[in-house]
Amino acid sequence: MKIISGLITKDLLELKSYKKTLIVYILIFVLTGIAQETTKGVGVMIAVMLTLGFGMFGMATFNYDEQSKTDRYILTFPLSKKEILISKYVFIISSTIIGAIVGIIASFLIVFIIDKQIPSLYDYINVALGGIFGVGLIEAIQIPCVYKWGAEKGRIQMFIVAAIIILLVGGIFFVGQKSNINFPVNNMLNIVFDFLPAILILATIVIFYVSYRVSYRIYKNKEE
Amino acid sequence: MNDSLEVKNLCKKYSEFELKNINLKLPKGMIMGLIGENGAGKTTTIKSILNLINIDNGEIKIFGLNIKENEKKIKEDIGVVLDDAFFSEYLNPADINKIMNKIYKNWDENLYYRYLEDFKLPKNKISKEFSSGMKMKLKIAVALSHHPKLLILDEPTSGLDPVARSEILDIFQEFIQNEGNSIFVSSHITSDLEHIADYITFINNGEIVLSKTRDELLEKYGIVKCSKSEFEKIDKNDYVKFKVNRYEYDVLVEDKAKFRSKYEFKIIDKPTLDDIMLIYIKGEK
Repeated sequence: MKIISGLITKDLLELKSYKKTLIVYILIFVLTGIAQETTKGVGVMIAVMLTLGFGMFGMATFNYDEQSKTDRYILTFPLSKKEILISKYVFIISSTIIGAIVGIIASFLIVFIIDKQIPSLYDYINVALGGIFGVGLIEAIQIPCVYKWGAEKGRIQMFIVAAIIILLVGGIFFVGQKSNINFPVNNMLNIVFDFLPAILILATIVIFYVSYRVSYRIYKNKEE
Repeated sequence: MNDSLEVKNLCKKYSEFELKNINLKLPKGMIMGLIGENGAGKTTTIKSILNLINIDNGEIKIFGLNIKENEKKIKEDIGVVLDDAFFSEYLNPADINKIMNKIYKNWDENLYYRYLEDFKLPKNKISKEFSSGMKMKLKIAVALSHHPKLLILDEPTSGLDPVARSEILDIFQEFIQNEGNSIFVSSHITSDLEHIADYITFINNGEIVLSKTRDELLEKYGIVKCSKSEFEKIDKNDYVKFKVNRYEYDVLVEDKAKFRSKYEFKIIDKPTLDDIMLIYIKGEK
């Protein structure tokens, strides 16, 4: 555990140089959020964009590792590939959750200042959970791609993988419609909305678990 | 256990390069220099020793233990310097201390800061602003600060000026004062190894060409300088390889005393590691 915290410390310290960029990013999205037409739009924009921003800052540590070949260097330390991988996932998931928390607090405060009344915390938690799921989905696809192709190439491959997934899902619906198979979309949506927080949390856990297993299979056999 | 490092029948095949049956032994308390031109297989050998790549065949033992089965235990006791890989340049030496403190059980913060002071490295300045020599000294300070018993160094003096190189070689000499410590160092700057190495292993095209003590190589080997007609009188079995220069032949012999007793050549030079390497690579038989 101490070793994993050492690697997380490394990632955190690397992001120190992003401090100013992070503040500018928060300000830009808070201001963009405020410019939304509805107060609800303000809150959603801020919460989602801050979750996305923090998550992407977490992913930026891959670039540092690649530039300095730190990924090779840390393999000379007394730690296993599993520990390296766990530390990366813990760091990226944590940074996304921190982004969501900062997002909820910021949007809650700003909406309160604009509307002069306490907004529904439940709505914003759902928005933040949705943000975590959305950003998590991008990260869950991107992390194995980075381990397979590297930080630079991995980004392009990530878009290709994401496009394939979208095409597959879209294709299934398209074929279903053409074959007159009725997907109970409305019923499904009603169920989803009833249990939204639980479904989002569960879906996020599942995508990260699958992503971890895929990354481990790739990383285990990777040569530095 | 008398060997710090033992490599037995190491083989690793890539599409365009192959390590062929590498065997070497580094006794405890000694420095072994691995020499060879760029692309000869030095870094691949080091990566195999560190278990960074999957070898096709062979066995690697460090402190008498198999690296594959005891990787974490072994790596607690080795310090590594890689030519092109380290922490991000946006970290400063103080940041690195915070990280390493959690990585190594034996990390010695006081020793690390003493090295930083000795090497005149500012602890709060990011390493991006360091010179090449300072960066290398930082890598060495990090490698030394958990009291390793074996240092594995890949090209630790490449790209450095003579002063920085000499300072770094002094650090290695100091490290080896402790009799239990050993160093395995690869370099294509052979003059550095002439000063510090006890053993020299020469790798060419993925194969070990020779592995001998430095004294045996530098004192026993010789380079006979002769004309074409003189060269033609030498028996093929009495020399290792020869190289034709503009006006003379350079003939590498394994035992200059024995050669002298058989032939009456006046000029038999003491070779440098560079000379030996050059004739082995460019010479003919």
